[in-house]
Amino acid sequence: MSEFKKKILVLGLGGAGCNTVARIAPHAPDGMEFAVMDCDFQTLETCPSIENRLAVGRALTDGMSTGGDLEVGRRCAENAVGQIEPLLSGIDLLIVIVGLGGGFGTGAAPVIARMARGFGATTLFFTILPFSFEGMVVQGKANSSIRKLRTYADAIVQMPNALIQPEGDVLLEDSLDRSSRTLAAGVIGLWRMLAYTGVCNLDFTSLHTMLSYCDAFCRFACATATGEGRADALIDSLRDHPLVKDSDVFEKAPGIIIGITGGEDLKLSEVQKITEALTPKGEECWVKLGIATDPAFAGRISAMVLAAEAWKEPLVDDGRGGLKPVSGDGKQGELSGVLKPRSRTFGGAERTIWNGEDLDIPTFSRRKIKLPR
Amino acid sequence: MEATPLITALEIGTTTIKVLMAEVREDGSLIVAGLGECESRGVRKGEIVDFELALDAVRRAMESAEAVAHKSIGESVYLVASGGRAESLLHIGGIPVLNEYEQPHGEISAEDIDQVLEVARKIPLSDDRIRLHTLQQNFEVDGRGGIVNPERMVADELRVGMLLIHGQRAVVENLKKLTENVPVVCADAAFGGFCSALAVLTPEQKRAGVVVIDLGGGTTDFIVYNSGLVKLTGSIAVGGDHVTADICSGLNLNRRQAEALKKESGSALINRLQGGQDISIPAEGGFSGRVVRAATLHTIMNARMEELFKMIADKIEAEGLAGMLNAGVILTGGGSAMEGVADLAQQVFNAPCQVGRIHDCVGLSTKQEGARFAAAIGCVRYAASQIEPEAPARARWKVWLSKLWGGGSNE
Repeated sequence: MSEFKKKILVLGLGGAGCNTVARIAPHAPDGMEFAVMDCDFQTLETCPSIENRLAVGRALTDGMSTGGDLEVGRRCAENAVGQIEPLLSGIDLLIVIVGLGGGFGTGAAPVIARMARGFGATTLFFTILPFSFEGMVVQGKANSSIRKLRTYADAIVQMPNALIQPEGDVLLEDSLDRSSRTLAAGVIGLWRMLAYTGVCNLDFTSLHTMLSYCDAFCRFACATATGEGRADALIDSLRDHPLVKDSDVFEKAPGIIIGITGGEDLKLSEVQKITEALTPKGEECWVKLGIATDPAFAGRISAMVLAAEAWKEPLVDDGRGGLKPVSGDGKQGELSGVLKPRSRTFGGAERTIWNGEDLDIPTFSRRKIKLPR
Repeated sequence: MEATPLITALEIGTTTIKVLMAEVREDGSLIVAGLGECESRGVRKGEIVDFELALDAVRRAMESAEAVAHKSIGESVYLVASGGRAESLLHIGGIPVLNEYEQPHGEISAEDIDQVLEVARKIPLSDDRIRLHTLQQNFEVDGRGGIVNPERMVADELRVGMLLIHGQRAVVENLKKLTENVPVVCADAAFGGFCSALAVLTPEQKRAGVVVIDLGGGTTDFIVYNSGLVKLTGSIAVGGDHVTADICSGLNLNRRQAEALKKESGSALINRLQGGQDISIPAEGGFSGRVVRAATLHTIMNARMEELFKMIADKIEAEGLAGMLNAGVILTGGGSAMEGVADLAQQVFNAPCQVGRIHDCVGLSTKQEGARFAAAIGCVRYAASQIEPEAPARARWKVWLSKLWGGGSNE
């Protein structure tokens, strides 16, 4: 890889994350970098193909699992800053795969997101949500983790386990395989778009724009088709993708990235057809198209779609422990319910905003009153 | 004779948690039986930021109150919901008055009054707000306002206003949840500003027009009375903590030093006489001692307090109540102990200002103490007024019975 390439790292967190990464890694194209992290050393041993294996929290769990305690997970990650730092530094895009609802992944994910933000990396979280039969406690943990993640991660793709199952009565192994294949297709597709110089390049900055404006939640779909009428087949299978089926992203998404990969036999008419079918009709929609050709895709055509659920101005750290929109035009009120700015001086209580003025800042400095010395 | 039950008020403030156990006598005067205080922890700006710490502090305050009273708190407490970003909303409901032929223009009956009150009480509130009090205003008969009892008057239309005091649901519910975890039952929650007013205002002041400002540690509540009724309330999440934080940042001191400096040498007015004085801050571990000028300290405090009062004054003016504060400004809460704060309020509101005094209350040591406990005492009064209505109802029933039986009961 040349030095101009952006560095992308795929990180598996916790049991589910490690398993998934271990399943993806053998199918990954050359040059794709993986890492796994868990406090359960047994899990790490099951993915020998990964070079970067981070065993954290030895002092807390002694190499065992967290036992479903997400506080322990959080502390494991926080204590392992020294180990995580060299892994994250210099990374431009961090793709994290994590299964929420357990202990380590659920607790550590927000910590990792915060650290990555500290290193200036764009973060994309693929979160696997638990089945409903796993119970309310697990669901609750997953939801609380999503809420925390939302503060720090640039984008979160939620994949409820129940949605990505094959139809009918299937073997457990098949089911797991299906989950990880859905994920793998997405992660690899995204990586390929960014790593290969395409005919119509999807660059890193476009992805960054998308991720920072998408208000944390993204929908994701990918599909591959071959043979006669492959463009139509591709469109149909994208629309039927379990993660977008119940939503109206292809009609209403405010922002969308479409990445198409084909062999040297990719036709313009096909690209046009796919793009027209997938682009939402709204005038305001932010669309970015990426097309790459790869000899290995001869006869095949593959596409991935990343669509924003909402479009909001990205929040930046205002240096006072809170987040504010980039333009900072005093529209602080609109954020209510999403991310209430918290005050550092007053122990994390909500900031006092009165007529657009932040009353937590000393009056004399807001009024520019000169203090007699 | 059965002992009068004690009413317990719990105020979870930003600086202190206060528990007051008191007895309300028939003539309305209050006897304080137990008083417990504990430094508040885990509360900022009147909202809970650390549940466990706050719970612990509440328990300790309750224990100390019980120790003073030599009695148990019992099952339920009344909660002072200070802060919670309370706001008031005036809603006017009206009904046409019909005569016996179901035509407009008729005599106002008791049913009409009940109906209009019901209509006015139905105020839509967004999901994140919680209703604290619904206070009735005077009736309006055919556009003529200020009518206390319109019964048997002839009119086309009867209208009545309802002032709804509402707070932030999450904040109030968290306070309630905290009490339930103590564990005691939270019988009711009352708005802190309203409670303070109940404790310090006389009926004459309420009629003349007055604003009560409760200067708390994390929040400042205010309530405006005119012609005997509550006209406006509000709560601003700025309080004594902000003054301390300003001193911290303006003079580069730590929190404890700033707090001590504020209490010992602080003033809300920039006093020319004292302005030249130097205040020395003693050395302590890692801090080599410093001298600050009184003028600097006072400028910082003056700026904050003046701004706070101006915000309240602006609110009052926006509601058109500015010229109606004949009885002036009454200050309560811990912040009322600040030097010069009454004089500053007098300047800003251009009305007489004094620190509130508790009336009809036995058992509190000093006047100053009184202003600090105003909300808790008012809360007991409020609780008593909530309990009372049962008694007259029974009495009326007895009157009716005695009429029936020819006055048998001589109770």
